[in-house]
Amino acid sequence: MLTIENFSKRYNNILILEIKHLIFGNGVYWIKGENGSGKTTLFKSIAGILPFDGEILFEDGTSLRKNPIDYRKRISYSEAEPLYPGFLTAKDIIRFTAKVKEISSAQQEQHTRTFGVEEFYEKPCEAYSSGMMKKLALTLAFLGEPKLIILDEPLITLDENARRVLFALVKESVGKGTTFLLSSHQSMDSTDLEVTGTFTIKNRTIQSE
Amino acid sequence: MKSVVSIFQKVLAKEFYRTNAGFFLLVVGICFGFLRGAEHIALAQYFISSPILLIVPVFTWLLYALKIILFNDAAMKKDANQFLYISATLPTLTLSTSLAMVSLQQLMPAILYGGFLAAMAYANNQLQVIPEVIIALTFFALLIIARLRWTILHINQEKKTGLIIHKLTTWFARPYVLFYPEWIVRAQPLMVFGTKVFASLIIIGVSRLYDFDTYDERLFDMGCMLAFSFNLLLVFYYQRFENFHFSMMRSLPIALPQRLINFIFIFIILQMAEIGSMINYLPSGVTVFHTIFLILFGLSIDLMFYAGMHFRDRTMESFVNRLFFMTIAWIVLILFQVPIVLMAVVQIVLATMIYRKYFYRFEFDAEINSEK
Repeated sequence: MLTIENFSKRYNNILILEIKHLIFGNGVYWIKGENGSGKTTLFKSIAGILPFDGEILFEDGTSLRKNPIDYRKRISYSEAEPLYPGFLTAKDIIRFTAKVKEISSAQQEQHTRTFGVEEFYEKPCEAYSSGMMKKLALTLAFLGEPKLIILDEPLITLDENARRVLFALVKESVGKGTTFLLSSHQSMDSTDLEVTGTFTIKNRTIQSE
Repeated sequence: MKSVVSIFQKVLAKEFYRTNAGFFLLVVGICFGFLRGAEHIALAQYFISSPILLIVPVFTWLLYALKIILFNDAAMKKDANQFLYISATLPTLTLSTSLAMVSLQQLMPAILYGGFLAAMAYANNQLQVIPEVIIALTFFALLIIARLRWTILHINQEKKTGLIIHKLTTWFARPYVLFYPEWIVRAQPLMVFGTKVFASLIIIGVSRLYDFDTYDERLFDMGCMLAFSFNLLLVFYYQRFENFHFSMMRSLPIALPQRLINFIFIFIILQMAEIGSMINYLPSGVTVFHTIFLILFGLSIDLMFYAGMHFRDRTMESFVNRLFFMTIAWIVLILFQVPIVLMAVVQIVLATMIYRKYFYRFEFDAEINSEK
């Protein structure tokens, strides 16, 4: 599904993360690691936000480096602590993302309802709680038909009901062929989510458990 | 009370001067670089000679007080400063006294100049000016204290949207090209307002010179170039907006030409005041075609600096240094009659090449941008 080749990421010439070869097949992958181990750096690199050395590509050869637009059409990334300009409403951000990703109004409405975003759809983000902000970020991540969805700490600030909705949606999307990379300090064992593989980022590289 | 004052001093007063160090350096440079002692005295005597002229320093103090208020508002909104809201439980007198001491420290440059004006008024036997200065400065100090006190006592105040804005958000979704203009107007209102006023005044002023003497197009070119150069700070903040405040932009599948087109539309919107002034006050010797090329040149300046910021992330200081040298280079090129349209085309081509090459390689440095 997704292959990472000769990946390395440096900040000020200091090596943060190095991955020689890694393949994620279809399913749900839990990426573990201590604070500052490089989980978010890896996620942001895969999402095309951070530059890196090496190559990341889908199985059909669509490469982040060589096909930046096609690659980005297939991925979605939800940050651990999403940040949006305070005056924008969920409606502004969802409509903008939907326009860029060419997503129908029907699907926008469906996802907006799924996470309960319709309750604060026309309110500015500065009035949101961190949980509401997280729901908006998750709604954006599920918009369209991404092949890969990256969820950085998706469970923090989410209430019990929203967690159930999220897990159900993840299962449904996996059934349709979407792959998930997610990080969480909370154990996935206590959830009814079937994890395909678990990886730990340690000593500046990633290892399978 | 000492500990309360100390905390407010560190978070608000010291931070205010640290954040605005560049601004104060510029003011000091202008005041003590361009003006000599005798000129300062002459200027002060001019201000105190009539109540109308005294409005000039009073209006400047008002702008300075607004700058302090906006800084304090922003500082109190920061997550790191949320602990300051506990001071709402202090006795009214303790809280007000603490805030007064901090506000007076922030207002100190205005107070010092007010003292200078009062001394000049005393020396020139214009005694009526002294109470006017004291009243003005006291009013501004009270304004800062009252706003800060209100902010502390009204933690987590629910934000209410006006009826018109509420209706508009119900009917429409904002287009992306309005995201940044609205953000920058909310985040840096004085900077945006000041830029628009000064840039428009330069264009109008230069245009008026054509009424008194005969000049070729180069004078108007230089005036417009300076006006567009002022706007480059907006370009600096746009990059911060795109990479930090709305960082999801980088992971969205938007083609590079579309990103540049968005940028151009945004800066046409932001520079409507300058473009409008150029058209309204077009000097008689300057053709409409030339004005269109000038507008293109102005946009190419924005585009080149925006693209250049992807080559390497820069601090505000480094950005302003580059701007200074480029402004001199543009003046020289204009004086040597290099066609504006040629400069515009070269800059657009260069900007496009740099943007294409470096956009995906660029990494926003949160460390050096922490104070942007």
